[in-house]
Amino acid sequence: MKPTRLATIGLVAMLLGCGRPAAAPRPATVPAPAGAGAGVAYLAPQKLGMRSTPDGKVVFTFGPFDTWALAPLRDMAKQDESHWQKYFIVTTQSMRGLGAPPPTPMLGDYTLEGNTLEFKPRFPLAPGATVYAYADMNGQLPSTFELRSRGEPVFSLISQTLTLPKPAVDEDTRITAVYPSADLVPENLLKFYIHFSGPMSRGQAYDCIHLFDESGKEVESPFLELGEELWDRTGQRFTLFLDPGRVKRELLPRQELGPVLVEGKAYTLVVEAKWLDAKGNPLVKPFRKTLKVGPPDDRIPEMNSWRVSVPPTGSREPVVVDFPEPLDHALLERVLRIKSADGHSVVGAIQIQNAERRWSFTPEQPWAPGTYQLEAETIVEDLAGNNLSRPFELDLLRPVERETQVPVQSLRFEVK
Amino acid sequence: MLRKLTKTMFAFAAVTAMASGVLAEDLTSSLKVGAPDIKSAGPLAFGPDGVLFVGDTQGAAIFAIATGDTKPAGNGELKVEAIDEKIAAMLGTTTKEMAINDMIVNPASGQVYLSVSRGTGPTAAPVILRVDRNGKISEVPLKDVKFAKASIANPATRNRVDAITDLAYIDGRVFVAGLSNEEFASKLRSLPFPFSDKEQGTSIEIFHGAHGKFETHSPIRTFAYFKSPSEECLLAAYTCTPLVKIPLKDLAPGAHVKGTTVAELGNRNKPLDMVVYEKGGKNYILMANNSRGLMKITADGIEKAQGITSRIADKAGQSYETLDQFKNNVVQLDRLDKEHAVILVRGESGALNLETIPLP
Repeated sequence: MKPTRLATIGLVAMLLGCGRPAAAPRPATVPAPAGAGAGVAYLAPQKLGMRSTPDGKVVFTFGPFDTWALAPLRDMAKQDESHWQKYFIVTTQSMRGLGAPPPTPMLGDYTLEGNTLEFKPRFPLAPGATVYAYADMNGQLPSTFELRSRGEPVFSLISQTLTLPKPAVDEDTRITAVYPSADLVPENLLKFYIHFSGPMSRGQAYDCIHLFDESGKEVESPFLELGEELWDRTGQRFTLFLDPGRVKRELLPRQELGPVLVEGKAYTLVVEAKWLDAKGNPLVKPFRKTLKVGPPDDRIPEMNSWRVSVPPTGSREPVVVDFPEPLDHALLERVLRIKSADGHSVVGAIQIQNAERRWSFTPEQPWAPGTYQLEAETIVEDLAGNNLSRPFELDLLRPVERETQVPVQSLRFEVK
Repeated sequence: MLRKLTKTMFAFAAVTAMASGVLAEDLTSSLKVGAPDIKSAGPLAFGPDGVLFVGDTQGAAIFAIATGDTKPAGNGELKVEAIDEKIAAMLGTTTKEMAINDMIVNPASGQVYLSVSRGTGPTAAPVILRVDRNGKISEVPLKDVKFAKASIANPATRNRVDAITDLAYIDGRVFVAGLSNEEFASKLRSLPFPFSDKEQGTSIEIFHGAHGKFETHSPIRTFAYFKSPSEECLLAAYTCTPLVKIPLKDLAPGAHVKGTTVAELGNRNKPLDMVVYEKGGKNYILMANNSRGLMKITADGIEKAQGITSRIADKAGQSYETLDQFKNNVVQLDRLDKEHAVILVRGESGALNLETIPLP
């Protein structure tokens, strides 16, 4: 019987107020393929309406001639929710073939109203996601291929799949800066910071960052790889530590592989563009930086070696602090401040310049004359992790007078 | 007469209820119903009475959630093939756009819990899932649940974040290991539980003394509680690779704690998880290592370890062996019971399988 004939019969049955037929009329069949067992029926497929809504739902629209087929669905709707997932699956997994185990249903809520079945996913579907719907309809839904087997729900695809539209990429993400920005770094350099113009996705960092030596050979295992990855809260700054097992002395990784960087040599840091941003798009372009390596640095930075240039009274010129060596970019942004004589922090803007050898502070209000403090938390580090109170590696065999661990140190200056 | 009897019965019932209420006061009694505002679901740990602790790096907090999962949940074999694909489908996404952050077993019930990020950016949705002994995966609700939250004291300014790498509940305290994304610091936090506004917990600096010569800050990647005949300690894997022991009694506020090296597992050693177990009367550590697969390390005699103090050639300290059949593919590990462990292992197809293995 042709499907349209069946539809007419169904419609007529509906109009005559027959309601749900006592014995469901056998839907249209096509001959079973050779090799299929007895009692197997295949149905000609028809398309169901399936669309996504702006608020992230997936909506199925059954045609009027399907109304009688919806009756079992309505019965199910009155039962508990897990029945939905047993017989009508909305999913992002495509089924591997007829007779394969059913795909895993997406968590969500089903609402049946009239001829419309609305599925609201628990989590919003991502742009570009492909959604499939599979149903076991006891052979009553005319728009399915169906393979019946022993009473267990057997699933078949009930409509065309739906791929959610992906919005046009408005702006590509790029690397905006990598610190330290100097070309010369100490042999025991501890970390890099990589800054991005937009939020990035997690889980790929160490596949996308490489260090090459002068001959172009990749340095083996140079970085500390953490499943957690070290991002700031906005997902725009990535902290990359060189493997401390190789930077620190006397540890086995350094004995086995040597230090990551060797004094006197040059290396290239490469960040691949295949690193995806939070929207799933690659970077605009890769990043390359060549580094020259100087001797290891095991001296603690000393605040009294910092040169402070004091601006004149009444001006809004910056206080400029110059360091004899580059310091850690992130810490310079956070742990240095200017305090006035009453102990309050002066409000203003910080700039880091001169390859992290200069910290300048421009006040919001003109400088009033008086005594000020440049305050630095002692955790401020140089590029090798030495901070104001202890070197990265404290040599226990060298007699060192350990000072009291004060959290801050200060330098006084006068604005005249 | 009947009325009087009824009154007495009620009174009796009330007294009994009150008495049992007092006796049954458990760790969940300090928790209040609400919706925990978890920003990211990271490392997990169980305490008694079904309390699940969740480390939230993005929100700089530790959450305690009453799961109500306190009774043994059957003996079915824990085995789910392609569990990452199933989870992705449940969450309406693909395996590339989600991450399984941690996997642990609730020792009271034998059910598995997973912390997941649905999405990969900074606003990825946190999800906590439970796998029962039939392999059925369900969501642990994060609304209308009894919970408590402790903020991790942090100069929460600008871009500094403490990434939580591991946590554990030991004897009324929650230990949290992490490292900062700015200064090279090694804080091990110890918070009282029930969480208290008055005592925000202590932050202990952890150091390592390599061969007694160079002392450095040493962040911890993963740690496990170990009780030997003479002491209780933490076994900790440093990011710079040594495996150390830290006696619990040393973890006092303001203390300058140095772990004693008990094994130097060397390069390409990226420990992910560690569990302690007993077999044949001896104690062992099973470590999942993403470069070396599963390693079995002897734990006997660890309390006597003086620390590896000389330049070692090979295999000084606790002896260990690598189990070949899981080379490089085990990504999560936890103990299931006295004889088994549960692992998340990458199969040949690239999908992640949840499997039960005998403790070796």
